[in-house]
Amino acid sequence: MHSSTSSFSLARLRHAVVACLALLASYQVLIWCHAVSASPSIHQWEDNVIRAERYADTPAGDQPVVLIGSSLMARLYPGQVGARVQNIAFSGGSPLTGAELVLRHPAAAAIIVEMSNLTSRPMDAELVEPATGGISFLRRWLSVFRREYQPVSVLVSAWKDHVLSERARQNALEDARKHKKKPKKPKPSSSPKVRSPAVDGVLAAYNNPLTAEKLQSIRKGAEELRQKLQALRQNSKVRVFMNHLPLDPAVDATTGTAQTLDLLHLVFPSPEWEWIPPPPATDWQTLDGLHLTDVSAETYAHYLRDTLQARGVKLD
Amino acid sequence: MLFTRLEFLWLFLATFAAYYVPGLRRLQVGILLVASLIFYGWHSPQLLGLLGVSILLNAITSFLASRTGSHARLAWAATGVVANLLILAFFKYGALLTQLAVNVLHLPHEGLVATLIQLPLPIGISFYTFEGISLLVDVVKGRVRQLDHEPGQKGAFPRHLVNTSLFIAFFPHLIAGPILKASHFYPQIGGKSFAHIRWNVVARSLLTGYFLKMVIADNLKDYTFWLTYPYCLNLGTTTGLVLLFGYSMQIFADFAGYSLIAIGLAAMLGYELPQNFNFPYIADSLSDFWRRWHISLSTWLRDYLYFPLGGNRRGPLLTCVNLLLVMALGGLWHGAAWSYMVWGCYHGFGLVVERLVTQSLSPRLPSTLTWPPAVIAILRGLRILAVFAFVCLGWLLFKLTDIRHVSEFIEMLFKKTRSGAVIEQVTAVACYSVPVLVYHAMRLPAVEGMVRSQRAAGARWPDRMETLVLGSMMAALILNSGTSNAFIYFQF
Repeated sequence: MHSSTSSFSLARLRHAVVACLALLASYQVLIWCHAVSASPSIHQWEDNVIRAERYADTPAGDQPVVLIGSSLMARLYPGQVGARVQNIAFSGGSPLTGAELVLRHPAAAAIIVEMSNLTSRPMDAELVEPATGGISFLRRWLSVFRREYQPVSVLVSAWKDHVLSERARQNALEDARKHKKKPKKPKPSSSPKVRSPAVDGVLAAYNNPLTAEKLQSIRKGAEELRQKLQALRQNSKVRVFMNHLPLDPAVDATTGTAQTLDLLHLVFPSPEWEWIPPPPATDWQTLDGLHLTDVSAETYAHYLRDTLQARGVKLD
Repeated sequence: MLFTRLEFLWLFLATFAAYYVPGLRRLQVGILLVASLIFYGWHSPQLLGLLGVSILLNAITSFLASRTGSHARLAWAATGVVANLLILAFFKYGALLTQLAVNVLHLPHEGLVATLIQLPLPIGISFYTFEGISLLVDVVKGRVRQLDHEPGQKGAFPRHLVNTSLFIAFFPHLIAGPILKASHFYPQIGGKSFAHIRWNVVARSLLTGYFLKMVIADNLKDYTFWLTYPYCLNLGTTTGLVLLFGYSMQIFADFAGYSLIAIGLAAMLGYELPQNFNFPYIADSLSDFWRRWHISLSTWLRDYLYFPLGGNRRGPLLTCVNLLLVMALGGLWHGAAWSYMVWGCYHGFGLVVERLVTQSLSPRLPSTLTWPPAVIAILRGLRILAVFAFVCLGWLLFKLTDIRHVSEFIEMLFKKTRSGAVIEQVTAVACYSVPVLVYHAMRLPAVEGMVRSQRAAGARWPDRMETLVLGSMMAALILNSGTSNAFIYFQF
């Protein structure tokens, strides 16, 4: 930026600060007046932040059941498991992050831990710190500081809703005009061109036995997770369930997957640790070998709901 | 350490406070050096060793070069330049060259070969080695007057060592530029006073810089992520093009933001760093673009590579060869991947074609002086759009560093023309691009002329508007900052 030839004084900087405060106050008033709706998140990271903030702001008395893990678990819609369920599994993250969040804000009654993708990813301080530390308490009073109220996200979400509802209206009109309503074929979530190299990549990584180094790093992550979960069980009497989400059948049958699971069963042995039994064998559909499609995720959510209820976990 | 992290804020505040304590004026350079070393070694203290070697190497060779006759002077300077290039080649291109040797000679991927391939890239090495070379060349050319002491003067080398350490390690520019020239920086080294801080530069640079980095670049990165392979093949034509446009905005906001923060921080410490960006996306020719984009690198390449090669003084053919060579090496400077070299060649080829077309068309076209202003403005607008489109396409080679992935993406752009746009991605990229476009538009001659004439006529709205814009940028920083992310140019 080239400095302008106009005069610039500290007084102008003061005026700029006043303008900034006025803008912040106006936006907060709009939120209080419900003139602005929260954004449901418009990208993956924002989704992670909103999940973390919502959990950190949950009153301790609510006693939710929380799902923790990576993007595999993040695909489960909590409402399909139960009304009291919150999903704090993070895309690109690890169960360590969710466990740390629960440690710092022990509101959960039970935790379902995803064990399918326990990689060497460390705990994500970028998510935990802003959600629970520093001046995060301000969020409870001033929603202007909540991620779900970021102006651009709010604007984009509102515009998206408008466009989608407009499209739906146009389609309805079109259907009505033609007097025929053909059931639409659901759009595939991912094109074969994307899915194929992705599945191939996963298979290439898991088909061979994992190296000693890789196993060591998984073990290290698992040990760290065990410490956190152990602390939670002792301090907050939280029930913990270990859970292996189904993968693409070809990936589930690889040596790498079997090795990882064997190792995790060693670190979290039954019956000391409660494991959710594998679901009945079915053709689980995935987007890329690892992440369940919406339909399969819903099927699995229902399975999880039935299993947890059978074990006496209050989900609603 | 990142400029956008809390730990940097504490380091800077502590440095700033100590720096201007009245009794510590004589220690100001030392305070800056300590802060710079903490800044650089914060996450990887072992990197300080290489930085120390680079400082010592350049301080010794430049000092000796300044003290000797013309032949020895050249020999010392050449020794320093070669050593700098060897350090850069080993740490930056060692992995690339070893991989090439592995592919060609079928060497086993183990032992020394494996170590070389996994060699980590020391952050900022491309910047500080180029600055070392600039120091040596400037000494040979007699441009660094601070070295013209009496022979044998006591304390001359220690003083030069301290000055060179500050020149290379000064934290605002250390890891991502602007690339300094010794002749510009050395004269500034000395005692600074709080009263002389140029607050207008500080406020405008820091606010604009942090806004560009934290609000624009850090948010856009969450959308342009989908340009990575293979996800980019799932995009339709519209979304693909919009994301590519968004990436162009992101890379500008990221790097120009960093440069502005560096300029603002240096101004708080009494130093003036050169401008690194001059509204590059309103360039109306490729050569104009390179006078506006990463100015400190392009002038470095021009002064220390293009001119020594003969520039445009050795006939049209050699001029084209020089252009291609300089741009290819400039591309490779950005990273140890062939795609960067291809990117440099792409720009070099563009510059050559532009030069040939301009030279052949200029004599045949009627003088533009006789054209109506509207026609001139429209033609300029079209040229700006053409240059922008060319530059945008080139950024693909930054995002997709495998040439095959680039060609697959371009193929997708032609094939998936009927795919609908992803609303949230297109809308968000549009929202975050508007400030960058407005920022550039304010610099268009017509807009600038209008604002200037309004100011001259005593109108107060331009100043009020600027105050409101500064206030809005502050609010956006509080309300809409993205997730902190390393600056793109750190990897170079």
